[in-house]
Parts: sequence; structure tokens; C-alpha cells
Amino acid sequence: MKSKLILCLAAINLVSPAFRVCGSMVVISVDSTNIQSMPFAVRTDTSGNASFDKSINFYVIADPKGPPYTPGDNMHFSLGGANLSIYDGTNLVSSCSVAGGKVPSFMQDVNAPFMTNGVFYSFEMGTNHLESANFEICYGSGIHPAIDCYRFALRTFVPETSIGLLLGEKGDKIEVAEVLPGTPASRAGLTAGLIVQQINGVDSARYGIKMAQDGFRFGIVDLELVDPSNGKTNKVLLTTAKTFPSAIH
Amino acid sequence: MNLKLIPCLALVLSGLFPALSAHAEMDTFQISPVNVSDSPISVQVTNMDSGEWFTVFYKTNETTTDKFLHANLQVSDGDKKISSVPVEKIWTTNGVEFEFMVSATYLTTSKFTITEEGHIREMGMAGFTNWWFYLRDFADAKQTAKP
Repeated sequence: MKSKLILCLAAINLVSPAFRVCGSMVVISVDSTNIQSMPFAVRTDTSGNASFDKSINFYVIADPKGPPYTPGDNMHFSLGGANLSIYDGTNLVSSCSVAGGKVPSFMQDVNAPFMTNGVFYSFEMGTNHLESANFEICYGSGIHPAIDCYRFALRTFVPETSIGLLLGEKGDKIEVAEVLPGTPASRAGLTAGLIVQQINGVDSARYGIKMAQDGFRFGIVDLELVDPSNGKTNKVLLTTAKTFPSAIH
Repeated sequence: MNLKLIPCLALVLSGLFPALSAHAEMDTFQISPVNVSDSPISVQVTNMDSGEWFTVFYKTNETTTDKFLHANLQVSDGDKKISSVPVEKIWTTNGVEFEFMVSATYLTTSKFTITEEGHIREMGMAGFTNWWFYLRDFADAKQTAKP
């Protein structure tokens, strides 16, 4: 009976911050689908590093006031701190609290209130451990003992270089499974269902799916595509470009 | 005329403001368990289940300010950089403390650096002092040394 009550209270916590009880800690997972509503923004930059393949600069700009105020939620959160934890699979590599500072003027496309009052976290990550590195920002309530933590995997916000095509197999052929919006492939008018006949002048069957997909990440890609609905062959020349997840708000 | 005036002014200014000349230097010191007692730094290493827990204490003086003091943890796997992160400062009564955890597997080439930039009160000046050490040195020695 008691455990049911605790579970029920925990569920209420997760469903509505307005009903959050004292002493609670809520961990919210953040990715490119919900970053827009979070009290922080994430940017990445590879320009200052020796090689895009080796390391990436991460910039996180956090609102010092925390989660948006909800009427009836008299919690008044403020920024507590940020932590970076890096893992190698499931084993910890390192963990530390990250120092924050003023938002530098070189940051662009950041909301004005963030630029003025935001707390700026900046760190560099090698690409070899991005898969299992997490950043966490925590806000504490000054009135009630409650903590809200926002956690995201760094990999979520890493820009990728591609033409924007996801491939699939259809019998012994390779087909376009998905065209990502805002990419060179979508701008060229490619659609899902097209059969990839040749890649850079070579029969696509010789590539295999994985090699073909990897080959789409660098330089210029010459594709010969067949539309199975009418048998028409089409040739396109696409230049790879950085495709960003929707990490900006 | 101007050429003579500049060194003359520099001499007068450095005499009037000793702090100016003191902060315009660029010094880098590598710390190890052998020489740590000669530095303003002490290092404690505690073995935990998931790694080595480091507590680094930097003894401040009356000129140390938050704005010009920084610390950085660089974790590497051989010659590959895993991360480079500014570590949060915890101000105590007579110094600043830094805490972090690193797996024993990644101690060999990982290092921690404390930098105090040159300044006069709130005004930044050229020069800095770096204190740095390899994590492995203190993890091996598990030494505690207070300045």
C-alpha cells in the first residue's frame, strides 16, 4: 500500500511539475526533440580544432532562473551547477563539475536574455568518447528542497556531414529509405523508394549498405537512381554538408 | 627622445607598482609528490569503486580573485584527447578546492592545470602562472601534502 502511494506520488512528479512535492529530484532526458522547451541551449563548434574528426567544442548556455515558471508551482528554481560524465561503455572514464562563466560576445543565434544573464559552460570533447558522454544541468528550488536535473548525451547534438540519405535494402538492391529534411538530398528532390543503382560510377551492390552510407559523408557523391514506379533513371551530383540536429532555440 | 622616455617610464612604473612586474611573468611549474610541498597546492587521492577521486586545494593569497583563477582537467587515452573541461571552483576560507574523478585506466597521460592570470585588482594584465601535474603521479603516491 505504502509503495503504491510512493509510486503514485513519483508519477505525479513526472507528469506535472505543478504538483511536485518537497524533497523530490526529477531527472529530465533531453534530446533534439525537446531541447526547444528547455532552460538552456546547446551549440557545437569544430572550427577552432585541428581536425573535425578529433574533437568538438561544446557550448551550453543555461538560464540562471531554471525551468519556466508555472502558475501554482511556487518552487522558484535557480541554477545549481553542471556536470560532465564520460563513460567507456558502462565504465566511468571521468566526472567533474564544470565551471560556468559569462556568455562571450562571439556566441551567435542565442536568445537575448540568455546572452545577457545566461551562464556559459564550454568544454572540448574528443570524438572517440562522444557515444557515452553525458552533460547534466541541475536547478534547485530556493524555497522547497527540490531539484530538477536535465541530462543529455553529447552525441545528440553533434553535427554530422552527409547528403541526408538513409539507405535500406530491397531484395539485392539498395534503396532510399528516408530523405532527411533540409539536406542536399531533399533539396535535390530525392524521395524515399528510389533505387540506388550506382554510386560514383560503381554498381551499388558492390558497396553494400554500410559502405554506401559511410561514403555519403564526405565530398561529392555522384548517384544514379532508378524510380521503380516508372523505370526512369536519374543522375544527381550532391555535395555533402553539415547537418545539425535541432539543438538551437 | 621618445625612445629614452619609454624605458625610463617603465622603470618608474615598475618601481611604483611592484605588483605589475610580479604579474607580468609567464611561469609554468610541473608539480609532483616530490615538490608539491614547495607549491601552493595540495592533492588528495581517494580510491573509489568507479575511479580515483581527486581533491586539489589551491592556497590563495590576498591578490587572488575568482575572475582570474581557472582550472582545467584534461583526460587523455595515450595521445588521444578525451576531454578538456574547466573545473568548478569551491571557495573555502583560505583557498579554492577542485574535485573530480578519473578512472585508474586513464590516469597515465591525463593532467590537471591551475592557472592564475596576471591582474591588478579587477584589471587583467599580461602574464600568468600555471601549476600542473600528471594525475598518475599523485595516484601512484597517494600522497597528501598541505602547504
